[in-house]
Amino acid sequence: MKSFRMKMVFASLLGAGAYIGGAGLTVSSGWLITMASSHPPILTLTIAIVMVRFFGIFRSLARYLERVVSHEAVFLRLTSLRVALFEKLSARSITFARDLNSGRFVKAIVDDVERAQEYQLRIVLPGIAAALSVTTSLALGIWIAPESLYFTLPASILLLIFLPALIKRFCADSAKTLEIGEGEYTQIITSLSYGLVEASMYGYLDNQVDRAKKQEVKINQIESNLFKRSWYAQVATSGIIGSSIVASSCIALLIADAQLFPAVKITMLIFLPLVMFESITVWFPNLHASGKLLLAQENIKRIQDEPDESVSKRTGYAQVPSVRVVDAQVSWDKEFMIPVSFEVKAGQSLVIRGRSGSGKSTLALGLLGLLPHRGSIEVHGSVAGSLQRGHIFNTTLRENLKIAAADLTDDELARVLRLVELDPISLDTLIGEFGRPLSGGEAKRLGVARALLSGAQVLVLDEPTEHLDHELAARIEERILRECEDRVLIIITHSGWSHADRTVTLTRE
Amino acid sequence: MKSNDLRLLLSKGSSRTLFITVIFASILWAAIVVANGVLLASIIVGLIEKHKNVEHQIILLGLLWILRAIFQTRFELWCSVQASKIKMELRSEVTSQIKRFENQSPAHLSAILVKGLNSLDIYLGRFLPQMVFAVAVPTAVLVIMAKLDWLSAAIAVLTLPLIPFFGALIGKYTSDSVNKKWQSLGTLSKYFEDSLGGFVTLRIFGRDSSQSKRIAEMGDKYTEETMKVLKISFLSAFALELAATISVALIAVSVGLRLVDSKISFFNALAVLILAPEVYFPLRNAASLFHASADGGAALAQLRQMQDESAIEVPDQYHDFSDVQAIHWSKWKLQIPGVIESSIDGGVLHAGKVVAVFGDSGIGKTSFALNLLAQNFDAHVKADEISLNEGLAKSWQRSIGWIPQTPTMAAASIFDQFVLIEPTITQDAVLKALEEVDLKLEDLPQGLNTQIGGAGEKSESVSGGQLKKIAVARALVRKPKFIIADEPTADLDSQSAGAIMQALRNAVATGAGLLVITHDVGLIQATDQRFEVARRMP
Repeated sequence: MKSFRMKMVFASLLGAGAYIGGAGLTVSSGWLITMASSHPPILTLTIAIVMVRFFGIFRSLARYLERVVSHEAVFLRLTSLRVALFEKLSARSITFARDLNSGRFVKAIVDDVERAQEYQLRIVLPGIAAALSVTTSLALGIWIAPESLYFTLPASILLLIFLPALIKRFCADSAKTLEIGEGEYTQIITSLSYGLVEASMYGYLDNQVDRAKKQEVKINQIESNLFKRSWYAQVATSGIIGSSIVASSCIALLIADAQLFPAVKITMLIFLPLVMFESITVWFPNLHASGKLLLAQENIKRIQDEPDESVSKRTGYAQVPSVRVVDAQVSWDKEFMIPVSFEVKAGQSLVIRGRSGSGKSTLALGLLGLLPHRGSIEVHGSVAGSLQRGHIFNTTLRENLKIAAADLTDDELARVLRLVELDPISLDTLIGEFGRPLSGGEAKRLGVARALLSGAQVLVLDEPTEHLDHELAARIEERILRECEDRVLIIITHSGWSHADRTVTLTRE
Repeated sequence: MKSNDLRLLLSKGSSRTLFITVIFASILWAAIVVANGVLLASIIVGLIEKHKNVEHQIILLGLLWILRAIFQTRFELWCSVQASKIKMELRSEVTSQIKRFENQSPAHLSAILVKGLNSLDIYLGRFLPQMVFAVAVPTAVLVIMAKLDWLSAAIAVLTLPLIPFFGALIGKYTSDSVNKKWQSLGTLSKYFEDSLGGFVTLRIFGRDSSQSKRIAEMGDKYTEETMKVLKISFLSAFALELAATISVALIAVSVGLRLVDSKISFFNALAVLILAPEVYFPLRNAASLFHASADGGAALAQLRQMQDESAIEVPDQYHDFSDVQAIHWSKWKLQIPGVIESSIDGGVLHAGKVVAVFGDSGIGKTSFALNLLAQNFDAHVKADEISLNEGLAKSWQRSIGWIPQTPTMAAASIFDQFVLIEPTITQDAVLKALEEVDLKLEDLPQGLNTQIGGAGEKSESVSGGQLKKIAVARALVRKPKFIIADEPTADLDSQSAGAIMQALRNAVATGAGLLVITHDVGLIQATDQRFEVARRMP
């Protein structure tokens, strides 16, 4: 973090250097030409010539170094920010996992992280560089003629402080509206595309397409509004720069009349406002598009500033594993389960049944120690399980299984794959989003395999045999029961598993 | 940008207007730039040599800047608004033919339409105008410079090609390096996304802390690689900038030295000096926007590729299928080399009969069923004597009830789901239809007004089982001649499953044909005929 700041400061200095180089090139050329116009001996021009050439090279060099340093800094920070966010989020109780499951929330965090970096690169860095280079030009102006402050100072204050604050404020406003509009549009497009067959079969396709089109028009309107608002700021910018150019001519006219003012200084005085605001004209277009970046920056900051929650992790090993649940109510944010009690000892299996919506999966998450609960849930022994919708990582089958434990050998993996009859898929097969797609039943069995491989003493399996035909389900049931002869096994299901030792049925309040 | 992508863009009315306006604007802008340079030079000379009427020139300069401010900002505003309009047109073109894009994944489609097309803002609003300016402004400035001092113009003409030369170099390297950069950044953010999405799974196995180490390792590795390529592209940008600034310095020194020998007038020298950067800067600006605009070009290319892959829209043919007595299908095979090879025998579904299709999970039962819906066409399907094709699909689908394994709904209230199908339906009729599938009003949070559907969280207001029941009621409400039900009872408690099957059997009793895809042994045995989708022996 510290090295990131140092690098950013260094990069801003280099960026300012590039602008100063540009200004130096123009001003020193003006100096050179004006001196030359009085036909002096060539030697007196040497300094001016050297300066012109120096600034010519310095400008590009500083720009190059600024790019290298700033990108390096931003990449470094991108990584450290990701790590920090992942640690922050994974330390939370999983109430927000429901959002994570939808994928949209994850996508939003991922995008925000990238945008927050872009904010550093496109808004913060050029901003500091602009402030530095404009300040340097102010000093240069005082040296040329202190009177230049009459126009350079107000213009600088307006362009460096007043306008950026104004632009940022209304951009953030509009960006919020736009973000919401685009969010709705994404949702419309996703559901439209996802339910296309049904929409066209049941004749509501046109209705849905109309909704999409209305949203397209709405987005266009929001954007046009945003552009119109930033137009005022652009007119102001152009006006301020134009006025200071005219003002510098006027001041030059007054000074030149009143006193013996060196000719070179007249040229430099007029050239000054032409070049001193170059950094502003580069920075402002970025600023106008900064709304979304600003929001992202705020979102990331909000996540980072949230207090840490303490999560009880249940990984302890017990001589004899057991689970004792007394009047437990597991909840997301609101409670709807009615209290449940049961006890399971090593070597026993328990089936939890209930109608859909009775909170079976929620109870499973509670048993795994992932959700807060009322009443008492005592789990003795290490615990693992498979979720109703377990995640499939974008990697090989082998790596997906090794999530359970890093030191598993291929032989062990193969044995468990045979148990759940996933052995036709080779361990090296890429699965998930970019690889071989898994059917619902295969994904379930992958989850079961992971749970079995973990070696945990207490297993909580949520719908392990869902989406399977009866014979396969029965075979796998039997093998899981055999594998868990000395473990505590808790199965959440709505069908099958008649050989389990005991059954608890959940009802909805 | 490929010429095909350009054509896609030019086919839009708004894009043509954009191009034409930009060309005219660039000419006006060139005039402003030249006038500004000449006027400034004249003011400076006037001030130093104490000419009269300098005040008038200053007033003229003020007027010029007012014109410049209005023109520049209006033009930029117009370009941005136009870019937004073009975006809207491109989006609307896709959404109005959404059926052509049914083979695109929803995530991919919305990514291109929202984020992808958003990158056209810079591309259309800034990069394209800058490209046109980069031709018009240097040309105009060079002509004036040649009049003022032909030697400076000659230097500019000789050095100017260096910029497109280095630009091309940058283009060559950056197109590689930008690709590589995006690829590795993409990999990284995918990895991060994957880790976040799977964090509950990681937590269950106590792997969350080792995962954050992995994220750091991957990040460091990719940063190093990406910086290597980026440095090359920055180096070529450096060469480009150096060529521009050194050329300006060259012109300044050459003019200065000739001014000493009175080979050029003070006014000409100053004007040349002020104008010289204007030869290079538009090109340099265009080059620097090149990076930022690369995404826009990529989005256009993706959009075009998507349109190329999309199905051709076939005009609908109307046909009355209400009296069809049987659906016949030919033997069907599914082959994805290395993944799956399966087949089902040809058969027939008669009105008033029940047929079961069963087989292992993931073997392609649903893909087969989509043929009967005239949604896939890899089996030959006949409704009585009429072969189904894409043109007939719309008419055919009206006489079928389809219950998918995971139903989706229009984003609307439960009542509206039925109104969308039968605009004149009454509340009572909807209640009756829901009663048929044993869905009671008191089980729904807001009764018939409960909002469901859409890919968002709205669906959480009803459970999976309730959604399935609504889907069955929806399929039956049109009194279809044939019903295709994909796992109608899977993952439901026995009471709900019983209610759904009863509703389906009631429909069969009134003469509908039912094809049910299922794992449920009890269900399979209670049918008139059974077909297995079997793994093919090699």
